[in-house]
Amino acid sequence: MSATTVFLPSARGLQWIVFLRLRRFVAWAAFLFAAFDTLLIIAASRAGATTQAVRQARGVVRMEYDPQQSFLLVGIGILMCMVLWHDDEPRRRAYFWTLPVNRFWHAAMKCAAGWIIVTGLAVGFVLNMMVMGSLLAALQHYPVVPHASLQAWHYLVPLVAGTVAYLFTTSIMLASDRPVAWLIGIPLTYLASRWTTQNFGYPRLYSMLESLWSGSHGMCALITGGLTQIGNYPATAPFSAWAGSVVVWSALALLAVAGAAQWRQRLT
Amino acid sequence: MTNAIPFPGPALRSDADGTLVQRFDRELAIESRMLGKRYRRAWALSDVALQVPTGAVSLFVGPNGAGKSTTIRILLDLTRATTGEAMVLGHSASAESTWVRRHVGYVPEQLDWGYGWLTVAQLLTYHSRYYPTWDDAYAQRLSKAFNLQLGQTMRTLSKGQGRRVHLLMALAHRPPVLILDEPTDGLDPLMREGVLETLVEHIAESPTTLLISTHHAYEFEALADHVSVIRHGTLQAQLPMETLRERLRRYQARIPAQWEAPTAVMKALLRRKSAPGEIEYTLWGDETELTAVLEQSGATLWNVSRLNLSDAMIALLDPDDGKQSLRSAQEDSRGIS
Repeated sequence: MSATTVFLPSARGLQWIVFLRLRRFVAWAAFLFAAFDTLLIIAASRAGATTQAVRQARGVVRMEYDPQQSFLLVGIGILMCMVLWHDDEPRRRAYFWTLPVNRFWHAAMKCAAGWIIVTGLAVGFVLNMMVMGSLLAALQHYPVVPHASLQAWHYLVPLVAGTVAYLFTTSIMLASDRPVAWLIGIPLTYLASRWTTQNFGYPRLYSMLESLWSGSHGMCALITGGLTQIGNYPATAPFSAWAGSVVVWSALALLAVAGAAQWRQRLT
Repeated sequence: MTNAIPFPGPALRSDADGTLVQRFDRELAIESRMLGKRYRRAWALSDVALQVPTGAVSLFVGPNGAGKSTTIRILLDLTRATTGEAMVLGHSASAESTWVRRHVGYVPEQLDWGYGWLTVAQLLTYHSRYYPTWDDAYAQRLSKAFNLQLGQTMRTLSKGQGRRVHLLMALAHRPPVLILDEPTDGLDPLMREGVLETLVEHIAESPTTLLISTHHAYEFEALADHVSVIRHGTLQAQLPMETLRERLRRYQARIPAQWEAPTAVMKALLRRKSAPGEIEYTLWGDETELTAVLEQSGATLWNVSRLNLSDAMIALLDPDDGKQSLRSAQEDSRGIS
């Protein structure tokens, strides 16, 4: 066995350990969804028992898929990543970093293993919304009519939003010795910069900062699919705009993870 | 690499009879050259030339904050040296770090090493996947010897139980080098005895080089054949135990009024205690020669004794308890009162 051989971890072993680490988190997420679903079903069953006229007056219990719900997946992506790397902080030279494998690939593979679970949750979330939408409609005897502005690709939005949030958080967890400070500091700095540039006469800088969030390829377009006010305002962004933001932000997030993992190849 | 801050000073110290930091001309399993580590403006290590011959059991002794763990972390590429380099089994600890970690069994100082949310069995299964040489039968044997509760989660284990799991993880892939950082920390005397027996058996079964970092050198006295002493990031001594036993002695003598210690004695002095009309010197050198020098100077020797490892370490570590160090003793031309 040559000293120059690149030693890689076992992908199965890593997936297993990542699953064990995140199983409680996944179980809690599933429990909360299930509890919320149960409450809605109970409410819908009661509403279903009332007359058509009463239902029309009170309104029906609805739960429909909306890409704006992807913000939830952003939160899940961030939290899940924090849980995943909590015991393996580079600052502590934790167990993970003492293992005899290439650290770049080890970190990258662990990130990928966590991503599979984030994706699983995102898929579960979308399916849950679709099933619940139909179930609630059936219980209350109203037809399921998908919103006209909702297109097939909109169902991919939570998956991508969760992924990008997860990847950016991973890069921070890997690169920084104080990840929580960075996770709070980055959005706060962004908001403060926006406010400062807006109020102290830097319009060009302000519009640049603004476009990072609400531009056609901004973070908001990525997270909501450009479908910002479904129900009241049917205007949607075209697929190309969303796809553009996916390419830009996913590439940035992947580069950030690769850079951070490469940085942690050596612990300083 | 720029060194804005100079090294505190050279590590090598010598006396009339040779150096306290020896260089070995045998094959070395662990070797560091000019190793230095700076954290901000303070040097944690400077010019450390650690050497552990292949097959040796070497104690790495020093007080808290002396630089033991930093040295070990550099050997495993858990931190990078600011100056110098470290080699393990002839491979660079930084450039070939993965290879080095694969061939080293490591017990870290920190007790929360591993994943607290895994059961012992799960952690061992996971750990074994990283080591192609993992010996399952041996792991099971060790697990029985250490009386491990495999179904318990790591975070519910006591300090001693956790340490035993870490030892098993280090031993079961039968690495050619073992680096143990405070391996008996948290173990009760009975279990400490058991661990030492296991280490002896392990060395007998699988030829291994051991570097044991410890505050409690006496625990490993029977096992060790080399000792390296570090203080304030500088190697104070590096010797075979045999040399240490041969050359380190405590001399107790009665002295006349106005007695002055001969230069040869001052050069060999590591520690001293004195009372009116009496001295108790810990000296490094040839016993016959030093005895002769002391007697010629007018001192009446009434006892010359070997030091146990614990006292030897105290002498070599030269604690700041008001007694002068070898260096300051050499500088002190007034002698002692």
